[in-house]
Amino acid sequence: MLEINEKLRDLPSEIWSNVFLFLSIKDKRNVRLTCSVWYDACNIIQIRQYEKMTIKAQLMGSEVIFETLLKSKCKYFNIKFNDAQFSKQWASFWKVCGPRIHILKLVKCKFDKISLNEMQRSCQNLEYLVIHKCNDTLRLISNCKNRKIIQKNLISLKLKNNSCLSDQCVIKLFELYPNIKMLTLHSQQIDYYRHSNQKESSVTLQFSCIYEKIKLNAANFQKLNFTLSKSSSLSDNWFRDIAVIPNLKLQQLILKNNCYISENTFLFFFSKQVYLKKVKLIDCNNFSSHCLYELLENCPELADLEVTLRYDRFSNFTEHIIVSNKDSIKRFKDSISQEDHST
Amino acid sequence: MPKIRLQSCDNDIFEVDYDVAKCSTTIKTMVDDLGLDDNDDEIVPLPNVNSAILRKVIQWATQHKDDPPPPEDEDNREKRTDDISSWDSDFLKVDQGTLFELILAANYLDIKGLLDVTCKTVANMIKGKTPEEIRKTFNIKNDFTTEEEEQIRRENEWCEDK
Repeated sequence: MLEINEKLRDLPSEIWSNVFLFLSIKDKRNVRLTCSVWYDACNIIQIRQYEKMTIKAQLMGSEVIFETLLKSKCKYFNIKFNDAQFSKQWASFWKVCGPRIHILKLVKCKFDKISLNEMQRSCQNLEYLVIHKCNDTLRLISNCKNRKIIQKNLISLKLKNNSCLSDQCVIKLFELYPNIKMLTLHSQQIDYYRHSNQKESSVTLQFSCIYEKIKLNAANFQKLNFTLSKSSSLSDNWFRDIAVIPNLKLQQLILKNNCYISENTFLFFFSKQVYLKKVKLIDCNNFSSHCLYELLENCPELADLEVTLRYDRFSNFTEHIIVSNKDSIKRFKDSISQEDHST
Repeated sequence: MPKIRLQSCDNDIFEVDYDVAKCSTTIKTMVDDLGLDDNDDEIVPLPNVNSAILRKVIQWATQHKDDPPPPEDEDNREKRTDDISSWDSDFLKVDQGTLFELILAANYLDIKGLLDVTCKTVANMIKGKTPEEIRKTFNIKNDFTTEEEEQIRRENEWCEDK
């Protein structure tokens, strides 16, 4: 026997949107089917929360899906295109749906010049862009001469597994998206560094252009995420330079596999960037207990921590530590300092 | 401890510690912006909240006055609904009319903690139900045409399970 809660039905739709935030995708699908008011309320949260109507678009060749997207009344799209090839026919799609797209993930996608242009021109409300294994697209973007298309709303850019990522390309991307607050680089196999006679063994990335752009946008820039392939590393100096950019108050730092940042550089970084809230340092060889202590000591805002800790540089003994709220971090810090006293 | 006085829509006056009242961003802003705390005679009028609900809200805020501020919404995390404290869940064992009023009050007074916990309670009424069961629960009329429903089903099919 179901309990009837008729009264609650009359809550305003912005409150229903808030309620739907607490539902899983499966429950949200059911809510979308109940009635048109809830369908709308459910779609509104899609932008607020960055999940959502993700469309598997490898089926994109099929007319039916194309039509479905065009007809959809959904106001906020979060679309992931897989293996899609965009040609002139897509112009109408970008025109109609582009302004409604807030999150766009491109995986192994190819554009021709016209459709790329159309995409960039229409997706004016884009906030979050992922470019994954799209070498041709990135090449096209770096050669793009049209500077009028600037997407001011984009705040988060994620680049993953693009072997052709060059400094020039990054400069271009920052021109197109001047207000980036969050940058994620994930496993870039940088071909063009290999061209300069460097073998597979460690390649150090310079990314001086990224430094310049972060510097220009320092007051806005909040999150920096780097996951690199094992054969490459951030440059120690680059990382030091980032730490001292005036007005930069990084809130999030995620590094994975960045093996060659030295212990001293970590110590220096934590003495300068004291607003960090979330820190994940996974498999960074030189992250020692001393670094951890310095981080806990200097960053009072820290509320989410995940690190692989190496006890001393000569052993392979490591420990994985996850502490995920402020109180636990305080207790954790106290427990470390007590250990120090007892030894 | 400074006290402030709140007036419900039915003209009852509640004297509350400022530390309790500032759970409400709306009240906090009024007091801070208008400098109401300098003047003992000043009363904060709350024309959208009745006495019964205001009493409940004050009770909740007193219990939670030492809570850390709720975390800012993380972009990607799916929110939990199974973390309602036992005090809160007892507090929310009320009829749906009261729950309805509480949600509106939490929204108007901008008390994020109370809004979250009340919304979670409502979300739990939806979880695991079919569209038809949800409609029955809230007495909602299905206003979709067959075609529209088909269209949404198609959209749903392409929503990723993640």
